[in-house]
Amino acid sequence: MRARPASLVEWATPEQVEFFETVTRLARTLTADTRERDRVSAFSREAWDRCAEVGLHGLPAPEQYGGAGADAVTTMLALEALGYGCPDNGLVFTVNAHLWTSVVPVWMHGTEEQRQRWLPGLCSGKLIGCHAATEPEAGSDVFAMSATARPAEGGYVLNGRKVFITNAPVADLLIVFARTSRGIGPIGITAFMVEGGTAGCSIVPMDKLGLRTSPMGEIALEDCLVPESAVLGRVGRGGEVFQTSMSWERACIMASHVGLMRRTMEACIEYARSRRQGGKPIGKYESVADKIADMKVAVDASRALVLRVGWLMDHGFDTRLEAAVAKVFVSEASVRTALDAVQIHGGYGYMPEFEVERALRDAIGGTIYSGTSEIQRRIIARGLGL
Amino acid sequence: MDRSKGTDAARRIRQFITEELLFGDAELTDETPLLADLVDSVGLMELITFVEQEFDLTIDQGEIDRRNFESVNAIAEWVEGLLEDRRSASP
Repeated sequence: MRARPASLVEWATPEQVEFFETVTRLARTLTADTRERDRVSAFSREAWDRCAEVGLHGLPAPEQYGGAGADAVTTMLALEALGYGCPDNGLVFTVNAHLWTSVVPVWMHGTEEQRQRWLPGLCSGKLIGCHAATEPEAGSDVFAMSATARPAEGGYVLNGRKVFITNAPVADLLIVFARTSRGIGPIGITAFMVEGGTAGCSIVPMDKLGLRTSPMGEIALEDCLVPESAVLGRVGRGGEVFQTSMSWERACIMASHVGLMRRTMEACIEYARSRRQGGKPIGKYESVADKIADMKVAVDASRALVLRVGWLMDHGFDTRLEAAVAKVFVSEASVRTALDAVQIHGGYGYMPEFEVERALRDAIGGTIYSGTSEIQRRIIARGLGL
Repeated sequence: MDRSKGTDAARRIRQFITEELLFGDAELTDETPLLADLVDSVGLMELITFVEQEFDLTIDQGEIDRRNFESVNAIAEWVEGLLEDRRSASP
């Protein structure tokens, strides 16, 4: 029988293991002030810029546009390493949002001119991207959006409101979805590439429970004129652009949660070994050890589910069902892991000095963004023919 | 309104919806209402992409109307109309 591999990433190639370790090393050095910035909801542009040292801002994009040209599995392993090494979960989320809502759709739906114009900056991290789809009355039913784009001399005039837009306050490129015709459902929605600072596009930062170091904002579009060349994809077919983003996001974004869970588990192991009660380390009590054992199960199962999706993507298979399975399992396991971590740390876990309190607040968003757990279960049920 | 029933276009559209969107559900007929419960927004996008590729059509957003997606027959009628229009318009 062969000896078990010692690597953190047992299923990866040597090159992927090396990349995982490189990203982990960088991630550990990115921020030292996360707790303070979490308190005041401050994004670290400096840490963001340093992510470029290993090409995180353009991971899956082709090298000809400045991307890293990584396949889906390599991309996921790099994002797991980022989530594992970097205590600033908001920064990790911002990198994810940038990748799935700007880099991927410009790469997949942009004209050659649009790719040449935007991708090098987005992939180097010089530019930050986001997309704006959700509205006050259109959340899970996002295609019920009411923002409009009216043809006008010189392009289109956008009007409407967008909410919960990750990266909006710091974005150089906003991919805004608006109706160009009544259509039905996603048909009649068009994607527009709006430059940050465009007149008529104002952004107000939003506060939130977790991921507070990831900037989020509300967007007001008031007679915002964009040129015809700002259309991304086909007029009236922005639903396809949105779906591309969601497919990648749902498939990949949980990879970082695997890293976060692993980091949380390791913090619990360390604490359970050092914290003594009743004359012995608390890890010797089954009630504590069992919680940590469950964390190990969650980490390993989550990684398997995430990488299964990556393998399917790399081999050209539809991943809707498997991505939904991974999204539900990993996001909910991440919350359970963080909740157990708080419990294991007792009163200290309730305080911000130990990271587990923030890990819990940061984990909760995973059951909501990119399609709530309830939506994911609907996708799974439909995939089962129900 | 049943004039497309059994046409080749209806058969190809029904086969796509049954196999790709309904995961083999055998209950679909050419008159089954599609938009009420069976085909969601993502399925609708896939259906339009299928129609464009399968029938070599480029469809403008203004040509897409809810009434044309109410059943397999409605889609087939619409597609046949578009094909006829394109044929008439070509030199």
